[in-house]
Parts: sequence; C-alpha cells; structure tokens
Amino acid sequence: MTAESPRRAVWIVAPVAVVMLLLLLLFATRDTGTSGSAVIGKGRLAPAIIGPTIAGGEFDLDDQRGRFVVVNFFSTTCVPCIREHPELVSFHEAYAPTGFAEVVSVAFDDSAANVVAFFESNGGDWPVLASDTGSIAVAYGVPLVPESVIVADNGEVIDKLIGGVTRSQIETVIAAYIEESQA
Amino acid sequence: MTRRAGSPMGKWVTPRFWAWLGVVVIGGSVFLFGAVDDGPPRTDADRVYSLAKNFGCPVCDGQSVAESDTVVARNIRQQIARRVDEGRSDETIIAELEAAFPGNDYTPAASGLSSLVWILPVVVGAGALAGLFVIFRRWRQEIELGASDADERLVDQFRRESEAEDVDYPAGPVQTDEQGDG
Amino acid sequence: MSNVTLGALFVALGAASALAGVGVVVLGLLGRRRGWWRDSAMLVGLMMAAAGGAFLVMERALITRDFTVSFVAQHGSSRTPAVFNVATLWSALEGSILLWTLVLCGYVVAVVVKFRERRDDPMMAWVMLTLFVVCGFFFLLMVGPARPFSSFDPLPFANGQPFDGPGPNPLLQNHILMAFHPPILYLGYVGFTVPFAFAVGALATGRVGEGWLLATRRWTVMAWGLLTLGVILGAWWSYETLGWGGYWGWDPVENVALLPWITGTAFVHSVMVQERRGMLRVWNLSLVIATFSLTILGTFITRSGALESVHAFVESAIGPWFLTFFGLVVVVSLGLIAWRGDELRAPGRIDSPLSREGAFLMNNVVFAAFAFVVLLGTIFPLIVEAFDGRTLTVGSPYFERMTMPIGFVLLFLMAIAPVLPWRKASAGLLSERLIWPAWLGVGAILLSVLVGARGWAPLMAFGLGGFAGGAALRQLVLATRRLRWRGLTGRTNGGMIVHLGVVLIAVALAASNSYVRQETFEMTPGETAELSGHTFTFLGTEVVEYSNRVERKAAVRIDGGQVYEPAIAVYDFAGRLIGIPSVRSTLTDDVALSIAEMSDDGQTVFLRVTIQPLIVWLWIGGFVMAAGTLLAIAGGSRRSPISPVSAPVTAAQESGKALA
Repeated sequence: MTAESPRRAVWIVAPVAVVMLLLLLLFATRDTGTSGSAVIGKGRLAPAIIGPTIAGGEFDLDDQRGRFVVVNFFSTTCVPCIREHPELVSFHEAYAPTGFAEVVSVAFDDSAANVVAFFESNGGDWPVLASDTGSIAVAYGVPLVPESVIVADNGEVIDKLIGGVTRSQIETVIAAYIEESQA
Repeated sequence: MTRRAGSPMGKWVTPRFWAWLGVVVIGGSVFLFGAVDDGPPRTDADRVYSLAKNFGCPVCDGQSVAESDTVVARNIRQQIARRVDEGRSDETIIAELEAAFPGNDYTPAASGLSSLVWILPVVVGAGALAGLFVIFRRWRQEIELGASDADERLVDQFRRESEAEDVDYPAGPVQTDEQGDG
Repeated sequence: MSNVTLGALFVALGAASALAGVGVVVLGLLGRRRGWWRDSAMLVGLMMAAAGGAFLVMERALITRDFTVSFVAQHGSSRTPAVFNVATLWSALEGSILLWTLVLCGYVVAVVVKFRERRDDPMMAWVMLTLFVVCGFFFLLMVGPARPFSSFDPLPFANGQPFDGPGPNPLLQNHILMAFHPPILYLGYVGFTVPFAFAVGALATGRVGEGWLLATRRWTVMAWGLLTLGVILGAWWSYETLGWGGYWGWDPVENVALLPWITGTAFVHSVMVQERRGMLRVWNLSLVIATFSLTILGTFITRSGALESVHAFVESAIGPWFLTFFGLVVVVSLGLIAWRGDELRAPGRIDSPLSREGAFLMNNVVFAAFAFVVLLGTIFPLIVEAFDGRTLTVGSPYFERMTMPIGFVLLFLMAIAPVLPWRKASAGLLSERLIWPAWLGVGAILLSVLVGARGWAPLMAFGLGGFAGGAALRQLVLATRRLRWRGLTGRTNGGMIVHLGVVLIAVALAASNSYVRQETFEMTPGETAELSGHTFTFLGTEVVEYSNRVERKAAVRIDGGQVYEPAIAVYDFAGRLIGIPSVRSTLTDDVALSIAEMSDDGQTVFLRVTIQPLIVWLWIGGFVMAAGTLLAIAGGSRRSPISPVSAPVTAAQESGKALA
C-alpha cells in the first residue's frame, strides 16, 4: 500500500490488466450455444438392459450378441419421437428378418398403457420396455428423448444419436463401423 | 488498565484471567463434545438428498438433481436411491453418474487441470497473508526508527485516555498529529 | 401517437441527450464552454424525462395490453394479473435495460441536484462526463440491440381468437417478491455508478485525497444497502417459488450478483481507514472500480447467455456490447490508476496489526479472497472448456467448502474489530472488552449443543456468531447508554446493527445448511407420513382454475393443525408445468411442501418435504441489515469538519516524504 519504487503502480496494474485481457478473450471467444450432451461409453460395452417387454416377454440385451441393436429412448408424447417412428419401422422391416439388426424401444417416463396404444396405432413389432426404465435411461445417460444408441454385434456402443433418427442415418453409422472394423 | 504489576504470575492471575480460562475450558469442552458426538445417524434419505444436491441436472441450467423436477432428474434421484440402498459408497455413485452424464458433478476433481480451482485460492490467500506480514514488519521497523521516547510517551498517554473513555479518536487532529510525526 | 413511436422517440431523445452531454462536458473541460454545467444539467433533465417517458409508455403498453409493441406481444398477456403485468417490464431483457437506464438517470439527477454548489470544480466535469458516457451506453443499447420499442402486427390466431401474448415466464409471475426484487437490486447495482464516477474524477484531476470519498460515502453505503436487500429478496424469492428449500444455489447469476456486493462491502470498510489515516488510497479506488466493473460483467453474464443458469435471460446480441463496455471501463480505470498511482502514496503507516485499521486491512484481504474464490469458481468452467474442451460444473460443494473458512474468519474479525481502538491495542484492553462477547459465544455453543446441534462446523458458526453479536451489542449498549436512542444512529452504531443482521444470517445459513432434512413420500388420501418430528396427512386434491393457469392442489395437514396446499400449475399458454410450493414458517423451523409428481386422477401424490431450521432468520437478518444501513446513513454527521474539496495531491506527497 505504500509506494517504494517510483513506478510501482505500473507493476501492480500490468498483471491485473493481463488477467483482465485474458478474461475478456475468454468471454469473447466463447460460443454461446448450449453444450450438447457428450457421447458416452463409445467403444465400451453397452450397459445392461434386462426387463419385461410390453408383449409379456423378457428382454436381455446380452441375448442380442451377433446382431446390431438400435436402443431407442422415446416417449409417446414427444413430437420428434412420433416423427422418427416410421423410420424405425422401416429399418426394422429391412434388417430384423435377416437377423442383421434389432430394435429395442425404452419408454421414458410413460405409462405402459400409453406405450401399448402408441405401438398399436403406429406399428412396429420389436421388444418395448415400459416399466421401471428410469435406471436404463440413467445408465445410457439419456437426459431427453428421443435418443438412440447404436450397439454393435459384439455389444459395444458405436454411437449415440441425439434427437430423431432416420433409417439412412442408422445405416450410415453401422456401415462406417463395419468398414472401420474391417480396415 | 488500573491493574498493578506484582509478581510475574500475579500480573496475569486476575479475575479476568479466570473468566477467560472459563471461556476456554467451558466453551472448548462443549464445542469438542458437540463436534465429536455424532448425533442422530444419517438416514439413507439424507444421503440421497446430499448426493442429489451435489450433482447437476443435465438439462436444466444451474439446478441440481435434488432441485429439478424434470424426468431425468427424477430418474437420477431414483437411481441414487437404488444405489444407496445397495450399499454403494458416495464416490462410486457419483462416479457412475458422472460417466453417464459427464460434466455435471458439482465437485471439481482434485486432479488435472480442474485441481487449479482448489489450489489457486489457497496460493493467492497464502500470498496475501505473507504480503501483509511483510508490510506490517516493514512498518514496524520504520516506526521504531521514527519515534523518540517523548513521542512514545505522548502517544501512550493519549492512548490511555482514549481507552479509558472508550471513544474513538476524533478524526482531524489525529491525522495531522500523525502526519507531523516524522 | 402509437406507443411504439412515442417510446422510440423517448429512447432516441435520451440517447441524443447523453451524447450531447458528453460533448458539452468535453468542451467544458477543454475550456471552450463556460456554461457547461448549466447545459449538462439541462441535458440530464432531458435524459431523465426521456427515460421516465419511455418507462411510462412501456408500462402503459403492458397495462393496456397493446400488442402492437413487440415486447408486450412477446412477454405480456391479457391473462397476467395486474401486479405481475407491471413487473413484466423487468422480466425480460429489453425491459430490464429500460428499468436500469431509468434508475441510472435518477441517480444522475440526484448527483446534479446534490453537487450544484460545486459546479466550478473541474472534478465535477469528469464525474459528469463519466455519468454521461455510462448513460449513453445504456441508451444506445436500447437504440441498437436491446430495442424495447419495435412494432408488431398482432394478427388473430388461426382459430379466430384475437392475438394474445404468452405472458412472462411462469416462475416470474407467481410471487409478489418478483415485483420488488429486481428494482431494488438495480437500485443497488446502479448506485455504484456514482462512486465510480467520482473515482474517475478524482484520478483524472489528480485530486486523490479524501474529498471524493466524503462526497460519495453515503451514496456508496446506500447503494450497498440496497444491493444487500436486493440479494436477500432474491434468495427469498427462490426459496418461496422453487420449492426445494433452496435459497442460494451458487448459480453463476447469483454469484455475479454477489461479487459487487463483496467488493462493495470491502470498500465500505476500508474507506474508513482512508478517512482516518489517509491510507489505502489505491486500494479503495480499485475496489470502487472493481465493484462497478463487476456490475457490468454481471450484467453481461446474466444477459448474454455466456454461462448457463436458471436466472439467465435468453441469449441475445448484447453480449459483445457489454463486453466492449466492460473492456473500456477496465482499460480506462487501470490506465488512470497506472498514471496516477504513484501520486497515491499513502502518508501514513499502520502501527500494529492489532488495531482498528489493522483489522480493516485484514477484513479487506479476506473479502478479496472471497471475491477471488467466487469469481474463479464462476468462470472456471469457461477456462477449462477453453483449454481442453471438457464441460465441467463448479457447484455448491466447491463454494461451500471454500467460503466456509472465509466466513469463520469474517465472523471472528466482526467480533474483534469493533472493540479495537485505532492505531494500537493492548492485550489487556482486548481481554477487558471481549470477555462478555466471548461468554455470549460460549453461551451460543452451549445452547446449540443442548438443543441437539452437532458437528464442528455449525457449532463453530454459532459460537463465533455469538461472539461477533456480543461485540456488536456491546458497542450499541455503550452508545445508547450515552446517547439514548441516538446511540443507534450514525455510521458506527448503524454498522453494528448491520453486523447483528449478518450474524443472524450466518447462524441461519449454518443451521439450515447443516440440519436440512428432505424426503419424498408417495401418498394416497388419508395417509400420514412423518419426518423430523413433524407429521403430514395427505387429505386429497382439487383443481382450481385461474385467469392464467390451472392449479392442481394437494391438501396436506401439518402436525394435525393447519392445512397447506402445495400445487402444480399449468400455465395454459406456455404449457409449462411449474410447482408451487407451500411453506409453513415458524421462528424455529420451516416446513416446505412441494409436489414432485401427481397421478392424473389425483389419488397419488409424491410429496416432497423439506425441513430446515431457522430459515426465517435469513429474512429477518436481511431486514436488520437494511435497517442498520438506514440508521447508518441517517445520523452521524458530527464528523465532517473538513471541506469536501480535497487538498491537491502534492500536500499528501509532501507529508508522505516527510515521514519516509
């Protein structure tokens, strides 16, 4: 607080100025978009999905080894989920019969009755889990729907697609994975 | 300030000495008892709450999982409750959630780049204290050089008067006094 | 004339007056214009009229639901209740800038009226220049990126209904505190512009003695008090509306509101050292400048979407404007300090750390550390993201852990400092003056342990709180004994009342944070749950329709007594669901009920119960602080014998040299 050297003020001000400048730079260069949720577990083993389906069966993701699996998180009231549904139906019709791929839908905060009605009116006959799905959503890091996780034939997570998906989008992801694993 | 200085010990053993001893002994022991005694045990609900409070809701800016009523926050709360029920430790529960929803743990890691947020304030605080210490020492040396015995006596007398009256110094005069000191 | 045209005219008039004011004052400073004060006083009047006019036009548009104003179309609605209709103005970006400008103009008018005697003083020219520049910035914001008056064509809806707006964010229209919290906060925030202007004036003219401090002391204290009240009201608002028992979440926006408060508090204390001893001049100037810069930075963060937060307004184009202005403020003030800094040499020394000024110095170091921790924690996620692209959150555990020791040191200083004399104290004196406060601290610990409080941290807070409260009471008792009721006024005594308020808040913070209990119960009608010795009986649900929302209420009887009704509200236009908690407050504890989930048939609710002790004392403490601030401003004029015009620098330098 006392001045010793004649230009001490400058020595105090200079570092403050530098810090301030860096701060300004930090704010100025930051893009103000909201950060997207990160892709988790890419290349890691997909978390377990075990539970009763609305058809009355039992589903276990581990039984699907050898097939590519699209784990689709959805809710019956969300508009993009309704919009992406025909795409999933088309994907399923093309690849499920050959045993190449499977789709499994996991309801996000929805009643089983609503989900059953949804599939009756929109089509699609693949395993659907509707009860007690909160922990699956947490394990897959799903904060909002729709989100789809593509799981490889060896059980690894390939990618997580945020928002509504299209058939070709899923195909591209799987094709790229196959190409990469063959290379 | 009317205390007489008798024997070196007698100078200290006054009624006020006993009063302060009481403060230290009673205050200290009650404090220690309260700090060591655990009180009622923490229930699982308490643990769930404190874990949820320390993890951010991934879709609501600035609210924790405990505070938000969005679906994902509810899912995470249920997951925490389940894990607590299973007997997992706080660390593993938070680590699992952070793996699923990265960037939402409210406690910055004490390693890597993020450890700076913990270290910097300590370094800066220690630096400031050291700076204060140096400045005070320098000031004291300057004052020791500056004041004559007569000055000290004057100041002493003035100080005694003001302490006895329990009033602050009036502003103006002291300042000039101080400035003309050297 | 339509509201849009009239409002836009007022804004343009304001901007023109502010810019003209800058020109007039610059000419005056260059010696080219003798009557600059009269002209600028007139321009200030015009600015005030413009800001007031624009404000009234906007309020009229909101009240009459004039949807041709796009701000009203975007944020107003015909269903919003009257009080919130008025408050809608500050619920969104453009309106909040308008309110800010109005408050700012009000302060400028007050400066012109108060300092009209000093019109010949060149320092006043610099003060006015600074104020005009700041006003000009805000008016230009309203001309440019944050335009409140642009037109809108309210076409009827497809279903033939006439146009109606969505109304403000539901969270902002369900509590009366929303009508008070932002204006009071702004009065505090903006109030720091005046001391800042005087700081710039003092630096620019080189008259860095004590004059500018005395001139602005009350302004600073008042701004500080209003900021304090605004922050506390904000905490109260979140507590009442968000429904999870939280009042402070260490959210970026809350943090940036706290930052100027911290530096302002440091200034209010260290300014006394400069008045008494002529020391800490650079430091005080820096604090004033930091406080003002932080209000601008805070506004930038709140309004640009740079940091994510519940309180943040939507992202907008004003970010770069604020950033540029912040840069300008920082560059100019740092430049001035670097230029004048060496003339700020202190003529005095602190003799002993064990003295009033020593304690103030310590207080300032601790407050600086406090501000550093809060600022670092707030912007740290940006730093990490810039370096390695990771997103990261720094939340309450960090801030609580880092600020707790700071809080303890501050409480300790609050106990010691008020009994310390200036210059030097002896151990004997301290032991004499502190023994009763110390016993009060012991009593506080004992009482807490007896009522079942455990844990070292809260007990430490209670003990130090009792100690600090005792020191404040001691001063008040001595003063009232001597001066009767006038012993409660004046800066020292009012300050001690503020300290009592701080102690109440510290104790309430420690208790409510440490002993919070929360649990969610799934209940059907007739069921009773129990938590922490309280019982909750769920009686049933009902649906109530209001003009702007439908509420589904759950009736819950607490402890077999009164019935409380937490609800879930659906705001028809936004379609947003928000919880409306219901809180039973008593002096010992608060029971907050909120509905986490309710089944469609209303037969099952998930009732979230939060029980926290001593919450009420947060608000009581806040009001005690406000009252103390008023009393501090009210009295205590006995000590201004010096002319407010400060001596030229050279004199101070001379005495500095004489000492060295």
